[in-house]
Amino acid sequence: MNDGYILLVEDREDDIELTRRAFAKAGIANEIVVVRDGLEAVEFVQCAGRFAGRSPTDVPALILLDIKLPQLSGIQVLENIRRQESTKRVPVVMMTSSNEARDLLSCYDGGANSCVRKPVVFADFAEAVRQVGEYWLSLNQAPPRTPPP
Amino acid sequence: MRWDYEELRLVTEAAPFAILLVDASGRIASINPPCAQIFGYDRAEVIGEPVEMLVPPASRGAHRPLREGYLAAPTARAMGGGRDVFGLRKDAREVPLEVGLRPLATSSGDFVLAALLDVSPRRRAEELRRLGAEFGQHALAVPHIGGLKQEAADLIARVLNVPFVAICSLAPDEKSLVIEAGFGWPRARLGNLAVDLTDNSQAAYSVRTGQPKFVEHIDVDYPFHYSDAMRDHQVVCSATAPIRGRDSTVGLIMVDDVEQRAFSADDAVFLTGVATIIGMVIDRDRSEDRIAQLTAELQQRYDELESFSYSVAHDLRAPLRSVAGFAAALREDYGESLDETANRYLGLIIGAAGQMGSLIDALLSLARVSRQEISPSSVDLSAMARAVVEELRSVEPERGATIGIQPNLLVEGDTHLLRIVLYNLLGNALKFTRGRDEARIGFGGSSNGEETVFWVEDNGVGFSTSYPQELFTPFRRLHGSAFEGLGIGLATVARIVRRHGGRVWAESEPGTGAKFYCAIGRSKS
Repeated sequence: MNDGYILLVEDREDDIELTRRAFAKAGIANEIVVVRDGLEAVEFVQCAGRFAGRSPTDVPALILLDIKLPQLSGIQVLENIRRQESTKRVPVVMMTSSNEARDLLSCYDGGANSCVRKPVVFADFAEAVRQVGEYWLSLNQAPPRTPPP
Repeated sequence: MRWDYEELRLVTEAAPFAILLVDASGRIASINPPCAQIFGYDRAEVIGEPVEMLVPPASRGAHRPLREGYLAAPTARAMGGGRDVFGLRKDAREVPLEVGLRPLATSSGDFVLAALLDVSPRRRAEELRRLGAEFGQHALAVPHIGGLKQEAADLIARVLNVPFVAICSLAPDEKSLVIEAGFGWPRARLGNLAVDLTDNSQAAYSVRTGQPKFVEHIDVDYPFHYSDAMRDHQVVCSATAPIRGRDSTVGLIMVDDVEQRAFSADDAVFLTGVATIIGMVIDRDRSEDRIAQLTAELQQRYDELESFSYSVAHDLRAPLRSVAGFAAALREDYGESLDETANRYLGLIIGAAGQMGSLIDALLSLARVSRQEISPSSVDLSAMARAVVEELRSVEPERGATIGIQPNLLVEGDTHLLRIVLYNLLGNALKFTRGRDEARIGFGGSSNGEETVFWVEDNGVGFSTSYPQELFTPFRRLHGSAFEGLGIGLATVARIVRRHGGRVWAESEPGTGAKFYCAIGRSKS
């Protein structure tokens, strides 16, 4: 199990709490770092602003990125993540409320690893979060921390 | 029989049509007044002269031997073998004629009587009809009125031989006309010169009555008021033809001359014809503009609806997730300290939130069906029905139902959407036969070349309704909670079939089963 932290980019407090709860119920104890809007997310990625003191080598094991965010959209954040040397290989799972074709296309075009539609029913939601966590933190072979020279 | 020459001459004098008598040597013996008028001569100027003086120079050489040949074997016949012949007027203009010839033996020797008809009015009428028809065809072909008004002004000036033409449109306040195209008027006036319609002008008369008006001399014929602009340009003769739209007068053609003239009936028909054509093109353009405007409005509404659906998807589901999620959390974390009723209420909240989520999803998929592009191809409905049945059975493997599928039923349509149709219809058939000991489901249809009708029938519970089309209305459910469902399946079916230009209907006897029909015509693409 990858013991890195999870970056959760989500503006709805309810969803943040439900996501934390779902991870806890699934027994996934990785630290969860939350940023609440698109601009903050970009600052996190670029180690700027509030996150100026963050080390670029301290990258998350998984990013859960809501598609609809204040300030900058999830797609714009995603593009930023992919442009940044330190985060360009980090698995990003887009969390959406819609299954609009155009949203899914822009997610994948932007370099998302996965797209998950948040179910309404909590049991389904918890199951989705559990599967995402287990797959990306356990089954999936993460990119090596230090790429070979 | 011999004619008395003098009697014959007196008869021709009295005739109302043109007659010429030519003697055996080819000299003009007599010319009656209508004939002299055709050629523009005084009679004394031509008596005793060779008849060739009335023949255009180009034909003169040939005329003499023809005339001598005729005298050698005279018969009553048309000159020129029915072809157009031309006469030469004193003023050197040529005039088209029909000429009938007849030999006459008289007391004073042999003569040839020539009866002449000036066919230039007929030729002119034909010419005007042809030009009018050509303009009409041209007007139909141009995509937009654009330069058509200027073309009309130039055409009218050329054809009617007038120095001034103005093609005007009626200003929105209907109190003035704006010259949009013209001929002869100073360029600076075009687009600016407004014709005042509040006075007693000829233009105002034509606009008000919708009738054309032809005034030979503006100071003689009618008590209309004429503008200083017209007087400054020495206009003495004016014709006005209203341009009529579908419901009202939308403009006016004004034709002005500096010489008194009588417009012929053919001139009038030509002018009013051009005005009618311009009016039709204006109407057509307005209809097209209106259609374009409506299309744009429709597109805007559609875009609004789409963004609405989108925000429904996103925004409604999020709070619902909170309701369902925290109710579940409450039950899990505090369920033991709550009594049975409180736990049941939490269960109801969770269930209702889940159902609302499904409804939102169903509405969105219905909306998606409506806006998805149809990409038609030949679809084997029978094969598709077999695949759908297999899929439906995998969900409920224990269901025993006899399902008969008629092979090789083909239709033109969108594969993806038609699959949704069959999925819903066959899924319903399975659902509503659930209580049957021997459930029987059938798929079949027929094609008549124009239309393919296919149906799904079952021996399930059926339905009873006085308004069978209501079945296809979203969220209309006939079977309460005994059968699960959102009431969206048949609405989706109907919407897909209608988007294919087809029809849906249903038949049923309550308790014995139901049969749902879809008819899809040949692809229009």
